[in-house]
Parts: sequence; C-alpha cells; structure tokens
Amino acid sequence: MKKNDRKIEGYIVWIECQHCNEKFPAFTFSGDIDQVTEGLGALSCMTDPEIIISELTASEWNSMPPEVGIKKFVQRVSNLLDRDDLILPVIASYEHSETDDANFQEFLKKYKPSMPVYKCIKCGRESGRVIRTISPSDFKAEGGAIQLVGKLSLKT
Amino acid sequence: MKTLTFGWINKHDAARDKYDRGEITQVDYMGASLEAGVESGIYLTATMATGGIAGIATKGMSLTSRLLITGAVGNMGYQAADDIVKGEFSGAGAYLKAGGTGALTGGIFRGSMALKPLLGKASGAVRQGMQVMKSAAKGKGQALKRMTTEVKSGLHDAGQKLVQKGKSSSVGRTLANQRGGVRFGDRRAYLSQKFRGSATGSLDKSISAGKGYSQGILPKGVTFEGTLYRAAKAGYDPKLIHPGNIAASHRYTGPGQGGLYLSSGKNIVRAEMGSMRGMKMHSFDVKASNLLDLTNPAVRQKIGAKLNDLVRNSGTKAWDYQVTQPLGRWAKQHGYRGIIAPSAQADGGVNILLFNIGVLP
Repeated sequence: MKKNDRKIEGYIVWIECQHCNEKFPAFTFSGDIDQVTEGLGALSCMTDPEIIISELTASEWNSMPPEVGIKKFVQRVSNLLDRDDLILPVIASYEHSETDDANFQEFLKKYKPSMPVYKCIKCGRESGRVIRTISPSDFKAEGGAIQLVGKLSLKT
Repeated sequence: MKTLTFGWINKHDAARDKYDRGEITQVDYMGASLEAGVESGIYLTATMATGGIAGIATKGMSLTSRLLITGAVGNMGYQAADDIVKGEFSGAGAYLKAGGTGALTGGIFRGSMALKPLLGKASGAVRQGMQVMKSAAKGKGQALKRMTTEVKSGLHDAGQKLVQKGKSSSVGRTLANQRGGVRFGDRRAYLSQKFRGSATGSLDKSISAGKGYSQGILPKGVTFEGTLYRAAKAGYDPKLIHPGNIAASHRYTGPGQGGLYLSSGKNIVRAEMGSMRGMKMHSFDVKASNLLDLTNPAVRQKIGAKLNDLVRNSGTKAWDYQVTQPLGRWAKQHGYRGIIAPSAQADGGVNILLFNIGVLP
C-alpha cells in the first residue's frame, strides 16, 4: 500500500440470477462519506470470479445519463487491459422493506437494509439477488482475484 | 374546483399532444403547461385561503383534492427544478403526479386552525414555484437553483410551524382515510409509474411524520446556515449524487439511499478522505432547515442513540454502520432533509448529510 494511493474499502456480494441461476460477484464500495467512494468503478469478469477496480474519468463520471459514462468506463478499462470479458454489474432497482415507526429504537429493531436487484450479466433479466456478502480477503481466499487499475490500494 | 383541476390537466395534455406531434418545441410545451399551472395554482391557493376553511370541515374527497392541487403546484415547481438541475427533467407532465407528494405533506401540515397563515406563505411559495418553472423554461439556471431553495424553505418552514404546534395529526388521519385521493383521475400513459409509487410512499411518510411530531417522539429539526466543504476529483461535478454514490455504503446512507456529505471545515474533509490526491476542495454557502442534529446530546438521548454508536470505527463497516445507516433511513423517512453528525474521523468535526442537492447554491 503506497502512501499516495487512494485507499479503497468495500465488500463483495455474490449475485444469483433467479431466472438463469448464473452466479457472479460484484464489488460494493464503502466509506464514511460519499467523497471517499466517489468516482470508483468495479467491473466483474463474466467467466471467472474476478473483479477489476479503477477510477472513472471526469467526463465518464459527469455523463448524463450516467449509463453513458459507465459504458465508456467499461470500454476504456477493457481496452487498457486488452480484455473483452468485463462488465459492470448494473443495479436495476432496490428492494426496501420499510417500517414507519416514529420511535427510532422500534424502527431499528425492524430495520432491514435495502437490497439491490442486479441485472443478470448472462441473461440480462433484472432478477439478480444477493445471496452472500464476503470481505475482499475471503473472496481472495476462495480463489477470487481483485485487480486494481491506477493508483489504488485495497484495505482488506 | 374539480373543473379547474381538470381544466389545468387538460390544458397541459393539449400542450403535450402538440409536443408529441412535433408541432411545438419542448420549451414551448413546458411554457404552455406552466402557464396553465400558474393560473390554476394561484387561483386555487387564493380560494383555499379565503373560502377553503369551510371545506376542511367536510373531510371528504373535496378536501383531499383541494389540498392536493394547491400543494401540487408548489411541489411541482421544486421537483421539476431539482430534476432540471440534475439533468433529469422528463417533461412537465410527470410533475403533475409528483405534485401530489408535496400536496400530501402540505395537507397534513396545513391541518386544523392554523390553516390560514400557512396558506399565505404557501401562496407565495406557489408563485415562486411558478417563477422557477418559467425561469427554467427560459434556461435561467442560476435563478432556478436559488428559487428552488426558496420554495422548498417556504413550504417547509410553514409546515414546521404547524407541527410544532402539534396540529398535524387530525388531518394526517383524514388523509390516511383518503388514500384514493392521491389519484388525479384523468391520467395519461406518459405519466411516469415511479411518481405513482412515490406519491403513495410519501403519503405514508407524511402520515408517519405527522404522528411522530404530534406525539413528541421526533426531535425537532434544526437549521444550519454557513459554509460547508466537500472534495471532488478535479473536473467532477461536486454536487452530483451519482448512481455509484447510491450503490455504495456510507455511514448514514446504505446502498439504495444516497446523499451528499459535506463537512464543517476543510481539515475535516481531509481527515475523512485520508488521501486528497487529485482532489479539489469545494465550498458552499448553505442554508438548510429541518436537519436531524445528532451532535446534540439531547437529540441523541431522545432517539436512544449513543455517541459511540455514531462514531464506531473499530470493526467491520457493517458493524460500524449498524446504527447509523438505519438512522439515515429513519431520518429521511420521517421528513428530515438531512443529518448533522459528529465525524468519526476527526475529533470535534461535524459532517452534514443532505438527502438531496436542493439546498446547495
């Protein structure tokens, strides 16, 4: 970990498509404030448990709609690594389980985090559900690979 | 009243048809739609302020629809303004449905005897809202942002005065029994489905907030006014809530929520960031009201959260954020516009989380 590297934190979610049963990993960035994770993007390999993390350029990040910039990001990183098997798993929606308790402690007891629903990287249907969450080190221990492109360091 | 309402919608729809057929530009379409809104909105607000009190007693569909339409105008203004600023404006038609959201909130707050003074403020906010929309149509971006803030503040502050007086619950209950009133009736296919959902969701939130305030469970929101800082990579839009932001896990916003974090000082930003490589510091003069102030021990005590729960920094992120992410959701769900929180990275530092960018200049 180099001193001037941008420190990255996060975790890996394993997604399973409820339609075609495809399983694939996706990286979720984490940090106290949004600026810590701003501009980071994580690609997943379509064939192996591998994640590539890099930073979006300003034009990619500012693109409207954002999907345009994300597509450019995927293309740029793929070209850089000479790969054609990378994809950025897209979150199609979130499932919120809401409680309406005005008392926070009661709310806390019933709280369930919002769950992302991913677009399947194989069949394209919006039916990818999170089946497991693991740390980067556990991901690697299970045979997964994480590659950082740019001046980045991953806290494991 | 009903005729006027549908008259407005019909005017809007006629403009939309012309736009769809390519007979007018989008700007002309927006202008025509907004003109109809101005006429209808101001008239309805004035009617509410003068003769509307009699209608309150009826508690029927008429009440709900009057409140809906009046509030709808103001909310439409700032919802559209927000979206234009974010580049997500999808046509004025969509905001008719979105208007219901603000109307319900406004409706709850507008309950009981304090209706009249509030309506005076709401009326001004409606006019401001329409100016925002007009300015937007003419491409006056800066005026648009400024007015957006003013409209939001106007409606919100007026509502706050009522909830402080504990006069929110009865109308909240009335609205709870009038959920069918959320629908405007003559809807067209191009009105976005998401607004349909958000209107109902906001009704639930508003009712919940109304109950909470009236029962004294919710801490009173505070206003922050001053300069705040945040970092962004050079060239990045520092006010963007990107899908990447929403997907990430932050201290008060779990995946799916999103928000803009700002800090009380540059040194706090630096402490939060660790490395400022390639980053540029931005400052904003902010006035934001109805923030949940978690730096206040009395507020923490009221909600039963300990300081250590908020600044945990020793375990996994899942552990660190076990209390704070639910707090962020709870605060947003109960109508707060953001959170003032102690920094977990800088002793004595304060971060302010805004749930949307509307209050930034």
